[in-house]
Amino acid sequence: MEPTVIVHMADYATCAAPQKITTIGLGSCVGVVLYDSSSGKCGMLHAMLPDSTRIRNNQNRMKFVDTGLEDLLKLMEREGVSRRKLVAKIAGGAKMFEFSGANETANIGLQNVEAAKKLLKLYGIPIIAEDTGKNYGRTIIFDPGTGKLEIKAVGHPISYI
Amino acid sequence: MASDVQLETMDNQELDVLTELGSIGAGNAVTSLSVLLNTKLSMQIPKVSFMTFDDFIGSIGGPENIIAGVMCDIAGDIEGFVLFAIDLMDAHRLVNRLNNIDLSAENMFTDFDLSAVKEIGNILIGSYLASLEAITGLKIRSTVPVMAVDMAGAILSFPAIVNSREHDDILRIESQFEGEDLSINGHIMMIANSESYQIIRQKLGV
Repeated sequence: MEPTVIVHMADYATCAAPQKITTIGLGSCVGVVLYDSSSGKCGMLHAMLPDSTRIRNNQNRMKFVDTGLEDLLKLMEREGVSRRKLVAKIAGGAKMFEFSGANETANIGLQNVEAAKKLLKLYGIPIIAEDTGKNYGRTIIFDPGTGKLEIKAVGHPISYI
Repeated sequence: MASDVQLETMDNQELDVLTELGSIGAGNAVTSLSVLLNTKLSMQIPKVSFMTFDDFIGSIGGPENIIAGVMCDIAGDIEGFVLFAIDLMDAHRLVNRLNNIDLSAENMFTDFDLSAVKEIGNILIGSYLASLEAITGLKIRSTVPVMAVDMAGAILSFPAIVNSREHDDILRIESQFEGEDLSINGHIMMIANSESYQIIRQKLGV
């Protein structure tokens, strides 16, 4: 069987069943899985920041939820996936540290998750499962054969959403 | 912003200065820890390196390696993070030594142990920054330390994200130390934004 596709930080990739796709050590970043059960095709994005329009250094489009999602969608459509058939699962966006006082980036995880939700709604892609927020990191593995997203976290049993 | 400085264009002399800064900062920090633990610690020459985000979050034993990370947000004349990171098993050994418990005991971390690790991080980061201030004359404030025990990738994602607003890679000054009769391997690293590196360079006249 083909090896699992690894999505790095500020990166996206696609795959089709029976291959699986993973991203490792997701902290405050958000992981978005787009999935078409009829063709067994899927894509995963590992984005660091919510909004490219608010950042001057925005050439690396995969770094952001907005441009990353846009490009991943385009790639999937080029690969023959219809947007209307897609559903999404999202994970990550943890608040890794409890800073005292106001720190605008302290909850960047939440901002990443909210950006993903807002954009997916705009694209008309329903989110059918999520495991986001809290204060711990996650490794996620998606199997487009079953549609299950496996979530591994330190000190928590493995879960599937 | 004065920071159309490209970190990527730093020359060897500039990188040498950062290595030296890391060396003095970490040297003082490790000395404080050595006194606290009453054990000899040896420090490696710091590494100043540019890393992709992915290499950075994998730089302490891989992204899934479980570590204890203590981090301070720094502000004032320069901005960024100083982070103390140590493998979970090493953190246990460190706390056991501090509490005079049998080194072979693989107990779970209690809240007390966790606060001990946090305090060790605080001492290390505090003396790192104090010596940085002393050499450069810069005023540096740091937040109360925050701590997490988790996958290295998840912990390091936070400073990576903050850095990613300005850059597509990370300039990291990293120092490692090892215990001589105590099997621990700790990391102290500083990540600052490009404006801060520019300010440090100006202060030091390089």
